[in-house]
Amino acid sequence: MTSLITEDMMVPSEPGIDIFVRNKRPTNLAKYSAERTLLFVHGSTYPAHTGFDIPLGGQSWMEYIASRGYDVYCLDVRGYGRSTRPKAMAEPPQNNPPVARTPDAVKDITAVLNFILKRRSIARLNLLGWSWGCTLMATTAIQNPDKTARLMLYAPGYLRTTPSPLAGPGPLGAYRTVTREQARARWLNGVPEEKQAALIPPGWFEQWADATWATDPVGAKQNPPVVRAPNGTVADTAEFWTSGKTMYDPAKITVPTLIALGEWDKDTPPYMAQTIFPLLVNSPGKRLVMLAEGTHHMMLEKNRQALFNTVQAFLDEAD
Amino acid sequence: MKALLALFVTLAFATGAAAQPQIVTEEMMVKSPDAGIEIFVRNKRPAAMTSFRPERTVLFVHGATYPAHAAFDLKLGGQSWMDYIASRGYDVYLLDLPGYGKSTRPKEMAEPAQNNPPVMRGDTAVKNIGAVVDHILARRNIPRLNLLGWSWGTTLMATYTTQNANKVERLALYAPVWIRQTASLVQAGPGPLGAYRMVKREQALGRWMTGVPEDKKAALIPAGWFDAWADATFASDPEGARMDPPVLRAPNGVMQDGAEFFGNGKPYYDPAKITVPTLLVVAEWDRDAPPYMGQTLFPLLVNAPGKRFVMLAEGTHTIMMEKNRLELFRAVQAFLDEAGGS
Repeated sequence: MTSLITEDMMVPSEPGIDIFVRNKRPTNLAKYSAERTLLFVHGSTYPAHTGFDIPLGGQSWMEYIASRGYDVYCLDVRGYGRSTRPKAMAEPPQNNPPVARTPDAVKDITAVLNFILKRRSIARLNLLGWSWGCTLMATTAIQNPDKTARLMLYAPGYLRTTPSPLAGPGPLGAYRTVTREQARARWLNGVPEEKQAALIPPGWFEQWADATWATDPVGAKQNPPVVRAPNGTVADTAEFWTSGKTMYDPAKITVPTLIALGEWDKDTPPYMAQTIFPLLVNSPGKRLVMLAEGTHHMMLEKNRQALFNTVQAFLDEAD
Repeated sequence: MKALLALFVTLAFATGAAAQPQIVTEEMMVKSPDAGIEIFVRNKRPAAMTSFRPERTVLFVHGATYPAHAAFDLKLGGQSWMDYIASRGYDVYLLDLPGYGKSTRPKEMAEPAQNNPPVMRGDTAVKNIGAVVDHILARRNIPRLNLLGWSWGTTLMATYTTQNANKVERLALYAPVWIRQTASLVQAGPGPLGAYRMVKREQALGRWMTGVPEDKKAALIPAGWFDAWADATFASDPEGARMDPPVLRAPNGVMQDGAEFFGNGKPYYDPAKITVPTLLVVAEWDRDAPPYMGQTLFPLLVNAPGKRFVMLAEGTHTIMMEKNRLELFRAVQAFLDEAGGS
């Protein structure tokens, strides 16, 4: 396997907000190009580096892409993982309104995008988002068409006609808390009973959950331990997606766009991707790929390779 | 099943890239299970190919109206889809079903259409495909091959697969048809269904362009490609060509099946019985087999390992002969290549 370098860094977004960024690339990578640079962002609940860079079966998705000659980055939005937690997250959730709304997250991404372009002296890079991260990356691409090479949407959300798995009862506080058991139940929702046992290879859930729950030392002190997740995304879902309002106009995306998802996705069911696809009227060479036997969390499941192949083929075509 | 005759063998030097392997073309008539009927089969493969494998063998069948050879093996921009696959190290076949293209026309097609009920129903078509499959498997001494169908051809190839899982390596369905919630674009005209229908060149273009945004129509089909296809397709029915205006006669069995099954809320086959890796690929502007059909079919393929659904940009039911055809070729090729390595 290609030898990879890992670099972790903090990139300033707004005053007082530093964004955790990880970079992996081949040790011998000598030159950088738009086509061979990629930035990943996570979804509504879990940070990027513990999903995109979790070495399941010995290799993370990040490593898979990097080992194919790419300069790969992922970031945790404010309030997630190893990035600065807004002060409201140190208080009881009901004391403050939801933190890390979509425009805040887009600011964080844009700061990292500009940081990478400058660091590598390149004009553009590829954007890859998961779930809420698709809304974030699509918005970033619309705001920065000259800085975006290709856009990849893994399990994108859109107008919601089914209940959101994230919305709880009562008024929304600054953040919510999630236990490992809740995470597992949400993950397996929609998987046929007889397929559930084999979906996640032994040890993978624990490996992912250990890494993810370890990113929140405060939540870890609760019993049972929780991960605190900013509620900005939940507030946006209520205000927009479940209210029949879109947060971005797919027609404004002018770069090649890939949509990829697993057939059992109940968080962002296939109807959402199928609604977006025809609206991408200005995306040249757009493609929608639906994969077998996978959920919203397919990148962490036994069929993850099918997802990796699909995204890789789309990336490699640019060369 | 034995080939009755090999019409000719030609060596075609692919134009363009020097790295393209030399392709051999062979044509043959395979005996149909129905007496007096022969099925036209064309084979293309690299001239240097000496060993044959299931993963590297493909059979294509056409849809409801037009024959296979005038589309799948139509050279556009110097290369047909058949050439494209063959040049990647595949032993590639196509067939025209009886009543289509260069195959025997059932005798009902020599009479006025209304004298006889629809010919070439799906069950008959599947039997004919089976004869060609058996011919290829015997000829190459292989146990299985890949099947590729277009439109109605997806129904036929899928149905064959539900009945002969042990002879199928992978199943690729281009523009798959499923239960219809919208009107069919293939119209047989008023009155009871006769043995066949007659299609005019102008109708073909109108049907092709349905669903394409107005501002995208002009660029969809590169200059000369429609005429190349229509010339080859309409020439495949010399009797129809003598009529004024010239027509293409197309068997109505598919129309009768459509009225009884997909147009009547009933599946023609059970997708759960497909147990081989299956690809569904459709273009966004397809109004013949709109994307909702593939999307409905996909989750029903509960026993197809590694199934995949791919939707492509800016293409119709006929994307294989449009400017974005390479997107289709790539999607199918990637799926085929996964099985065999290289």
